[in-house]
Amino acid sequence: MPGEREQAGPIGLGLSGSWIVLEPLTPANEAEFAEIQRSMELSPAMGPIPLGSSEIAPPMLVRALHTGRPVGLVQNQALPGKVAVFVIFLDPKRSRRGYGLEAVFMYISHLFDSGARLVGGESVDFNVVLQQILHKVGIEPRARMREHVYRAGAFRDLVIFSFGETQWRGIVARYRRSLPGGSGRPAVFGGGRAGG
Amino acid sequence: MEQLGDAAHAVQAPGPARELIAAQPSREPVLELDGYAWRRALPEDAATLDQLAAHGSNRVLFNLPSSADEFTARVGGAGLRLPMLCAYEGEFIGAGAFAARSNRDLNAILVSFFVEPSTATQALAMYVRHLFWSWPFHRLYAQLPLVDGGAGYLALLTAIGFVEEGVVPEHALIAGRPCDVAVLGILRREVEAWCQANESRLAL
Repeated sequence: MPGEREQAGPIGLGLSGSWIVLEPLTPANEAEFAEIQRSMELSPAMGPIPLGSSEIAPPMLVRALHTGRPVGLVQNQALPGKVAVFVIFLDPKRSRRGYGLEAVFMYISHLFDSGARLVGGESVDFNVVLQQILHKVGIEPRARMREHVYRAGAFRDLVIFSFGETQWRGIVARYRRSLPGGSGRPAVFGGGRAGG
Repeated sequence: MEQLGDAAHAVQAPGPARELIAAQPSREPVLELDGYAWRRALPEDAATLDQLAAHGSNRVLFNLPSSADEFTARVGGAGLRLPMLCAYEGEFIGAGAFAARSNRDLNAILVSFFVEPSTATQALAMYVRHLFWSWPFHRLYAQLPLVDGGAGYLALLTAIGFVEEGVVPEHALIAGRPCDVAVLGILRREVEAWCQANESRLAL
C-alpha cells in the first residue's frame, strides 16, 4: 500500500552467544533457576523477585558455555501497551566479564523480536555496573524515583530506563561486529574476570 | 467546619474489638476542613465514582474502571484501596484511592481524580495527609500521562509537594497512540514539611 512502511525484520541475535546461552525456563532447568534465585535474593541490588510469566517472552537461565554451569537469569514483566520491564541478575561468584553484556544484548533483542514496543529497566541507585553498561551503549535514565525501594537497610532511589526498538536497533548496529554472529571479538565492558 | 477529625480518633487504640466496630466504613465523614469532607467510598457509591471519572480526561489519566459496575467490583479491592469521596459544601468534587501497595518498600500509587483539579489543592492535601496518617507509607507516587488534562494534575500534585522525578517517553498507549508519562513522588518527611509550611492543621 502507498505510504505503508516496510516492517523491519527481526534483530535476530539468537539466544546463543560466544560465552553464554539463554535457556527458557522448563521443568528440566527449574532447579537451576531456583538456585540462581536464592543467590539473587541475597544480592542487595536485587532482592526477592518472583519469576515473571510475561506474555512477551519467558524467563531464561543464563548458562556459561565454557563450564555448562548456570550463572544468572534474565526475565521481564509485561506491562500494558507491550512494555517489557527487563530484569537481569548474574551471580558475581559465577559470572565473568562479557557475560552480562552478551545476555543483555541477546535478551533485549529477543524481547523486541517477540513483540515488545518498549523495553524498560529498573536499577537500584548503587547498581552502578548495570548503569555503566547502559550508559556505555547510550541508554540514559529517564526517571529517578526517590527512595522508592528498601534495599540493604535503607530506602534507595530506583533509576528508570526506557527505550524503543529504533534506538535499540541503532545500538545493536553499532556493536554488531562484536555481538553473537559478528566477525569481531566479543564485547566486554566493566571490571571482573574475563569470560571464556 | 474548622476541624480536622479522623474516625479512628473516636476509638481507643488498642482496645477491645467491640470499640473498633465504630471505625468500620460508614457514610460519616472521616476528615472535615474548611467545607471539604472526605468519607469512605462504599460499593453503593459506584455511580458517583463513575460520574466523577467521566469528567475531563480522568478516565484516561488514571486508568479508572469504565462503568459503575466495574467500580462496584473494584472499590476496596486490590486496584483501589482506601477509596474515599470528597465533597465540598455537600457536593461531590473528587475521589481518592491508592493502588499497587508494596509492603516491603512502603510505597503505593496515588489515584485521585477531581471534577476540577485546579481548585482541588486543599482537598488532595487532606487525602494525602490521611494516607500517611493511616498507613506506614514512606512514599506515594503518581504516573501521569502527558495528554490533555495531564498538565492540570501535574500542577495539582506539585502544588501539594509532589516532586517531578522524570518523564518516560511513549510509555503509555492512549487510543493506540504512544504518549509520555511523568513520574512524581512525595516522601513522608516532605508531606510533613509541606503541612508545616502551608497548612499546619494537616501536620502529622
